[in-house]
Amino acid sequence: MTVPSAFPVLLVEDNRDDAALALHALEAAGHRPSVHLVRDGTAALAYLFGDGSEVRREALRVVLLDIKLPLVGGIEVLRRIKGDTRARSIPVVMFTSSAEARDREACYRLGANSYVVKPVDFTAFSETLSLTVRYWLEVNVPERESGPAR
Amino acid sequence: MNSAGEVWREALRASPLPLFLHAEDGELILTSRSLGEATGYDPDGFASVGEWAAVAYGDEAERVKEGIARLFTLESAVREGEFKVRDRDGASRVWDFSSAPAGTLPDGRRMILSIATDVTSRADAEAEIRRLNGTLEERVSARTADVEEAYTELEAFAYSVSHDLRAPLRAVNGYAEILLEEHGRGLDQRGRELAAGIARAANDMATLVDDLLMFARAGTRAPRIAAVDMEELVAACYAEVRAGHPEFRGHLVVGPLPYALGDRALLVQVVSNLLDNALKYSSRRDDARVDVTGHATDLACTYTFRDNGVGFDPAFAQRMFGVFERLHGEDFPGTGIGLAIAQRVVQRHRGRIWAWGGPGEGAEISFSLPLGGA
Repeated sequence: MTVPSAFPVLLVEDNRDDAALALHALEAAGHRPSVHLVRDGTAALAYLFGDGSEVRREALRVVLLDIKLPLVGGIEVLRRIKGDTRARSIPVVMFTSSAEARDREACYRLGANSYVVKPVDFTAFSETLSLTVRYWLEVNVPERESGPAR
Repeated sequence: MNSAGEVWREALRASPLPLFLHAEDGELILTSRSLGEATGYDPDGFASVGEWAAVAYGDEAERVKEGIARLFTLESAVREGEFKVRDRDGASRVWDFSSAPAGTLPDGRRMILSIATDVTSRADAEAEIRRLNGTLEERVSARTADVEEAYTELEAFAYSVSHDLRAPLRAVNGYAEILLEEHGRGLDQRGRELAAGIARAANDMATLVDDLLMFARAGTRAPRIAAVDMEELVAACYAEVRAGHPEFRGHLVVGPLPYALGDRALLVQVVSNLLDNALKYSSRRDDARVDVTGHATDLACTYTFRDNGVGFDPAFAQRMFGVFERLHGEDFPGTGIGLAIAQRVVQRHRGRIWAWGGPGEGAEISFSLPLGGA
């Protein structure tokens, strides 16, 4: 079973400042209403899988996933999404401070759809984030169309 | 003490080294006083070699006695070798015995004179050397494992620091930018300058953190040595570095360069940093020129990067390889990590790097890599 997501974008970000800056940038770009923010991997899995009987995926266009998360890390969340036949086709964009080759390689190996390094400079950060969200909301054609994304 | 015999006996008793005069039937005819001094036993307390052997050699007594019996076939002096002797306190000494035929008694029994040298300390030292040699390999591999572990820890530390520092720096930069953009009107000119300064400083620190991580890593990996085409490597690095210096109005001349023995990925860091410096410091000239030359000897290949840029005070030729050392002010951007990384990589190859230059005379930086296997 799948159920629709009220939000096309799921942002998984534990860092208070990064979350505030991301929401600020998304607000400025007009994407804020599309975004649901969760603060850790457990909450991300709960949002996506609930009690396990159904997957919230229709209308969900992209998951923006930080790697370094408390308890259940971003890589584990990625593994769970890509390891579930019902959830596998949900696009997952790693959105992280890590430019490390090993993180990048591990994420792509697990099936990440994209890997984006968060710039430190806020102007570049805002542009990178809104460009990414815009691509998945407006350019990319999802597996299943279920009404307008926004 | 008046007969000639007594005089000779007394002389033998005075031997500074433990001495035994014994007959072929085992009778111990005479021992030196030094035997008593060395062992604590009464030197006159042994009537036969067998008694001495039982006390001094313990379990080995029978074997020793057989050896002694064979001595009586000797025609000349022989070095018997080392024996473990137990003294009166139970401590073990190592004695090196030499024996020689010493004539015949009036009753026809042949005699042997045996003298011992105490070599306990030498024997102990030899045993210690044997033990150390035996464990050397073990200790080397243990130490290597320690070093590798330290490298791994350093690497993990550097990674964690660079990653964890980036988020707060992004926050500092971001909040300052937002302050400026959305509340700039509430600030006076000075306030806006300060907010812009905060934003810029956070970015600068992020660059420093990245550079520091790169520096920490330049030394952590053991070079994977192979033949490296340095002409190809310089050309590849130049293409990359040139793109970062649109202000450079000159050209690069690459002489014939010998192949190097090194780790290509690490040497890229050396060459890129040297080219970056050369382009940066010569970019103010219209006739900027960067020369890369090289030569090989039997022992090493040397490569030299020369530019005709602003140069530097030769008094600082050594200091410029230090981490975050900068010889030029804000006129030329940079964190001062490039040459430190270059030096670290060259040192990991057991090579050398050095600089020459003068103010206004350009700079020349050379490095050599050994050919005998790094």
